[in-house]
Amino acid sequence: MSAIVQVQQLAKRYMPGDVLAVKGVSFEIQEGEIFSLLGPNGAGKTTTISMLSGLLAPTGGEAAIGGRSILREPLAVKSIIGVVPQEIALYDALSARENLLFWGRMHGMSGKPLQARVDEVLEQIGLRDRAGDRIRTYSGGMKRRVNIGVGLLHRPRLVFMDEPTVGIDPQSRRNILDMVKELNRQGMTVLYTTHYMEEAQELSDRVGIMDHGELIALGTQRELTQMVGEHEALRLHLNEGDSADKVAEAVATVPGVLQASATDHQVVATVAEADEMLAAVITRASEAGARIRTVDIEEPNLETVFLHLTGRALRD
Amino acid sequence: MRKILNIAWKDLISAFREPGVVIMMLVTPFALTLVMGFAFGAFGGGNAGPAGIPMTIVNHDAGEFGQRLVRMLEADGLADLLVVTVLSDDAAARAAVDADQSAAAVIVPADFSEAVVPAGLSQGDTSGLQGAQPVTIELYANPTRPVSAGVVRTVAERFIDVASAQRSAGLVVVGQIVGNRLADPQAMAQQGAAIGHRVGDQVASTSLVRVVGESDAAGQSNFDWLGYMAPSMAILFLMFTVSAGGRTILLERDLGTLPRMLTTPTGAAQVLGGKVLGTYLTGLAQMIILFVASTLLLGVHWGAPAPVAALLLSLVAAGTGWGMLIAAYSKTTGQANAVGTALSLTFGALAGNFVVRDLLPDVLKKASLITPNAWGLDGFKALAAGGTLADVALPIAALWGMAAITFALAVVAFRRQAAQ
Ligand SMILES: Nc1ncnc2c1ncn2[C@@H]1O[C@H](COP(=O)(O)OP(=O)(O)OP(=O)(O)O)[C@@H](O)[C@H]1O
Ligand SMILES: [Mg+2]
Repeated sequence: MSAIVQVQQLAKRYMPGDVLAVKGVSFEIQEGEIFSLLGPNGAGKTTTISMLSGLLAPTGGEAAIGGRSILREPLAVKSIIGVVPQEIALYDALSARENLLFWGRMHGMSGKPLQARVDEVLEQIGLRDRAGDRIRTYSGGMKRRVNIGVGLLHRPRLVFMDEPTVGIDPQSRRNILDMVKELNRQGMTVLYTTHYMEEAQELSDRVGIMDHGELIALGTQRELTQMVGEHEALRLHLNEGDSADKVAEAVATVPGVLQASATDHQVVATVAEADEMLAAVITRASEAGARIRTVDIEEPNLETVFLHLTGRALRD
Repeated sequence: MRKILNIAWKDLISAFREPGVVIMMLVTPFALTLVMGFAFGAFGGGNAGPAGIPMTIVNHDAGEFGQRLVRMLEADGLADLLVVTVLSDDAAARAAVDADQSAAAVIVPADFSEAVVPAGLSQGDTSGLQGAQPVTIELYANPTRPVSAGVVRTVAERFIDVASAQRSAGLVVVGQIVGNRLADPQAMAQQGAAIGHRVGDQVASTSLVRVVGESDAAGQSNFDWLGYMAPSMAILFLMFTVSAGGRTILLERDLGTLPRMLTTPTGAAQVLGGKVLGTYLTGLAQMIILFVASTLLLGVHWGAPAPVAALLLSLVAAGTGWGMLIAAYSKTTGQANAVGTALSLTFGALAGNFVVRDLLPDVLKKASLITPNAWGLDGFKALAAGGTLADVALPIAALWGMAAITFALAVVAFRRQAAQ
């Protein structure tokens, strides 16, 4: 395997506002893998992808894609990559087919091969029947699928997908995740960003965890979870109306609880041995006024890794 | 180039698919042309072409030709077109026009027949010809009904053409009579020269009988409001179209499609080229549609096709330059929209899209030269009056120059933005 993406100390400072959005990240993506950048809102995922796809000039560092420098050979880089932007970027007044034809031509495709490829992609995203309708009349999920189709049209070796499942129904999300896996099976390298732990977990060969513009961890899922050690997590599901924050504070004081944090109506406590700690945690939580509906015992996962590294839950 | 065309074509299609845009580009200027046409009396009260035009005639001529003119105006063939009132008092006839009860008054002087065919001419007495003074039929036109008055004028002129032709026939008859009398060759030569002289003079002074319009208003009463309004409204709304075209650059930036284009192997210059061409083609399509519609539906005469086309091409180029300039120096679409609207209206006012520019003060007339509107309007006025390519060379050159300058300034601003 060889690296198709090599990133060295890439940094971006947005001038108006003076925001250091990406603080010198370095990583490599191997040809043929699905690489996820996992991180909460504002972590710098989109900024990183924008620099790699030549939209934003980096303030520092360098990156090469397919051996071509993003700084010196931007056009060569652009013919290697496909980009699926986070915000849907399509023409409302045009139909799905017209959009695909337009973007195909922007990638230098034309004539019969383009027509055939557009049909293929429409099939793939499941929109053959509605291909002639204007995008304006589509649901959010359908637009998302066209948005993805545009990025795949020219069969790029490498595709950047920036949170492609944001704000859509579970079924469309399922379709998209299956599509990403299928594309990868066919040999496409994928850089996938998300703030959903489950997606990164299901898709990725390797994961980079981003927070506040920094890559705080990088590796296979196994490597990452080992960072947490042999720790397990206790997840308490509380009744609505209970104060998760207060409960988390109380649980954190239990001897043997390494860390505790609150997300909506849930408290996650990191412990060495879940079985041994279960009773003590539940007792302390109840004393703090929690009415516990269920308790899950979780093996270490990307969520606990993030918690372990930042002391915060991924979604807050 | 293929990518530039791809972007331009996409913009053209998108523009014509927006109902709001089509209303702004085509329906509104066409409707305004009609409304302004009505307002300035272009249709003389009727809507399916001129009909039932009220007019008055006063005939002081006891001779044959005065009677014939009255009979012709009252003839059945003209009954739909003209409603003729015969009066005997000049002042009453003019008063009817002033009170807007009549589109025009035709006043035939007492010596009209005598002027057309002097008494004694048929007897071979040509002395009447020698001293003939041009005689004047007065046409007192209603300036608020230029088209209707124009119809009356044309009918009167047609009659005079016929009368003049008869007069020439009369001269020919004279010649024949002279021939039959077997006058001596020398006298014949003399008379022939005299007649030739006379006919020559007659041609030179167009005709012995002239129709005059009402004093100063003569030029204006003949003014073709539809012919002015059709190009005028088209130009005014072209400015809205091109500023909307420039605005799509900002719109696409916000929408993410512009950045997305830049993630494809397409240079920024190509993208800009596509946007410029798209705006140009949209503006051109608008102008062509308005041109065809006003020609076919309203019978507007724009002028000879080739120079009209040349002028249109340069006009749209200058407009597109302004559209790009507005977009390049606006930060948001809202700002571009406001500036575009304000500028379009200001340009329209300066250039005489609403009021004829000749009525504006000199300062504004000079200022209007920075607008594509003024140059375009001047060009179309010249072409409607029968001008050739040479007559519009200056406007065309000025418009292309304007296109080059505005475009260059826009590129400077776009460059500066891209560098950030
Ligand atoms: N154009 C900009 N100008 C100034 N600051 C910006 C700009 N774009 C992003 N930022 C800031 O940079 C940081 C990183 O933003 P970025 O969009 O890369 O995050 P992200 O990981 O993609 O987040 P999300 O999950 O919400 O999409 C944020 O603090 C954001 O506010
Ligand atoms: Mg993002």
